[in-house]
Amino acid sequence: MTKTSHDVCIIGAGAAGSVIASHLSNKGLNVAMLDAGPHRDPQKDFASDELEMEKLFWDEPRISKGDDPIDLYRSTSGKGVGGSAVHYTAQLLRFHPNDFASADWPISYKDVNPFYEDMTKRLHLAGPSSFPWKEFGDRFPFPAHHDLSNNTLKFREGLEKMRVNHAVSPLAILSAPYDERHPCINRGFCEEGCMPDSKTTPLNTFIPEALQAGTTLIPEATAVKIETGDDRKAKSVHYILDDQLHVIEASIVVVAAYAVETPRLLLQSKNNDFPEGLANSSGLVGCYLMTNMNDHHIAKFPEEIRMYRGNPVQALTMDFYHKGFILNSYGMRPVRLASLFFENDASCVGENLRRRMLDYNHFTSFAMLGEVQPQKENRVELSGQKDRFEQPVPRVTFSHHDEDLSIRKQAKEMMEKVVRSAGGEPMYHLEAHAHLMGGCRMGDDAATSVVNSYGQTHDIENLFVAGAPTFVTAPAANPTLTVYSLAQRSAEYIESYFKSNRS
Amino acid sequence: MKDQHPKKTYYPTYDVMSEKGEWDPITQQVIQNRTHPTEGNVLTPEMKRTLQAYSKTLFPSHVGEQTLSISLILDHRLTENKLKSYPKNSLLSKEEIILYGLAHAEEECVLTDQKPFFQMSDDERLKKIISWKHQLGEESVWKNVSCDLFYTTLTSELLKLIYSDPSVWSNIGYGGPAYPRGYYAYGPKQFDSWEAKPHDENLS
Repeated sequence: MTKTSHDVCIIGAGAAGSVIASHLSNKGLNVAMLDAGPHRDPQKDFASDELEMEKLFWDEPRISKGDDPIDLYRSTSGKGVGGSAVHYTAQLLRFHPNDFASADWPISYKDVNPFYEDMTKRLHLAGPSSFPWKEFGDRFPFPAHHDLSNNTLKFREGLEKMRVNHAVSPLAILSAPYDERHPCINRGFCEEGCMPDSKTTPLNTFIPEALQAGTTLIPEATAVKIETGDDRKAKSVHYILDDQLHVIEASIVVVAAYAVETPRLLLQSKNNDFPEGLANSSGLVGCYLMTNMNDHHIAKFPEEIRMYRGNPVQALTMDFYHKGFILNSYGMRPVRLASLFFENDASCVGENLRRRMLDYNHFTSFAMLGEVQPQKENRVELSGQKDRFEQPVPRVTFSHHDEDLSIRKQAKEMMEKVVRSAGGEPMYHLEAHAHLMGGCRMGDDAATSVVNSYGQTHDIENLFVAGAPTFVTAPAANPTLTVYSLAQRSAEYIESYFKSNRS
Repeated sequence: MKDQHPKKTYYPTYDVMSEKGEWDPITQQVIQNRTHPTEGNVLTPEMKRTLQAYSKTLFPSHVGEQTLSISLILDHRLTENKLKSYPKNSLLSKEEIILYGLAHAEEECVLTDQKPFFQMSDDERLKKIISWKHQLGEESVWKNVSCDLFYTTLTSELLKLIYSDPSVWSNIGYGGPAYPRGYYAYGPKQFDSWEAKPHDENLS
């Protein structure tokens, strides 16, 4: 066992953790950051292949239950330095001002806006010179991508005929050279990790910045416990590396391990002082877990479309945001499509599946991203089962609210209209989910929330939660830009907290 | 079997592998490993026989056309610990479900038909698989895992392997790995020279 000492220990090196590590290291703090997965090099460890790149998904045991259990493997978290921001489509949107005004968000759009502006630049967003829905993003530093796939052109054609606003998606994918990185070549494997490194991820931004500033990054290290001291503050992090238990003592602990592992770690770190788990005096750690609905509509066209070409998400409409969903084009490669066919229709195997897949090149795929209501009963708990580290396997329970299902229905009808307007035949509606949020919601009241708006836990002042677990609602805009932005806001607060405690 | 199928490929002459020399070295190696897999050490010979028969029964024309060895690749994936996550609604990992399930499947066939799964006729095997799908397996046998969870989990994994097979990519006209060239020719009816040639309208 080794024992080291740092100012800050960050658990999780994804979008949130890497931003905080970079900021604090650059401000002179001594930072250690753990990640359960490896630190991969896109040029050496990535491939243009769906099956191979499943290695980017979180693959540790998780029990998924409820009326509408979520797939906790593919679309809802990543394993490895960079986290799920390595295998997403990189459509980056702000939340709408009304999103922060609703429910119990303790911050307004105005509080987040400077960080949205900052991250738009630092992530080199490419987007249209005039975005029709300016609250969701504007003044992108790189021009919009203009090599649009046939899948996207059909999507836009349908919307155009319906007189619905549409635009090229704001993407964290280079549309022109930047530094040593090349622009996108439309290879199409964004969700399999960007081998050409055109997609902007923590691996080519905040991680190298953090390392250069002195962060100690420890990959393949699984945190198993946060220990508190006699003063009831967080004192150390216990982690397993190479089958050995190690300890990092730290003045500040930041848990940035996404929406399942974050509450799980707080719950499994319970001790005599905190018998219900750390930061859980409200009893809400793990509660209000949310996702986005991410259904796809597969349509057939007389001409060949070949949806495998180009980045999956290239255009969108946000005209239906007030109804709880957005629509975007979404090309799929064969493994993903065949898997979704089977998941949604048990008869879609063997010859039935083959009949469908022979038409693959004639299919378009359009997707919705739908808002999901926060419900206390949707939660992460510890099960009685143990994993290979002798830690409790998390159990996630999820059931949809009637409002979610109403949104899903409306979005389905709208996607079919878009298809018909473009001259296609609606064929298959495939239900799916993407993203996880909640589990450690923020708020001003310690009785109804876990952390404040900076991610500082109400119960333990030197213990912070960063990233999507702190979200209060799950709006229909992709969450990652908000994750990056709120992480930067937390980082600046942690810096001032550290300095005020040191003096 | 291919000719008996109600619907033929639109791309009878396309071979995605003819372009493999143009792919990046990492992806070339990945596909080479898939088309020439090494032995794993998790599946027993009996399990491999069951698996092969299961694939052939459930995906007759796919398996007839594909070039991959499903049982070797699945064994390799099990050996590499790639199936340790849990499917939805499960308290067991994919690996546990598949291993228990393959053993139970064999056990049931010997019990009810006095012969192992792979020795049954195509019709008998299909009936068995459908009974498992509908939770109608022999209760006394399926102790460690339910037969419907076995069916769903194994079939999901087989689907992935089948649609990761370059010969199936050729069959459906999928361009496969695109790196380092990416796609250049855009717009309706514009395709890159190395993709499948556009076919005549509607060869259904």
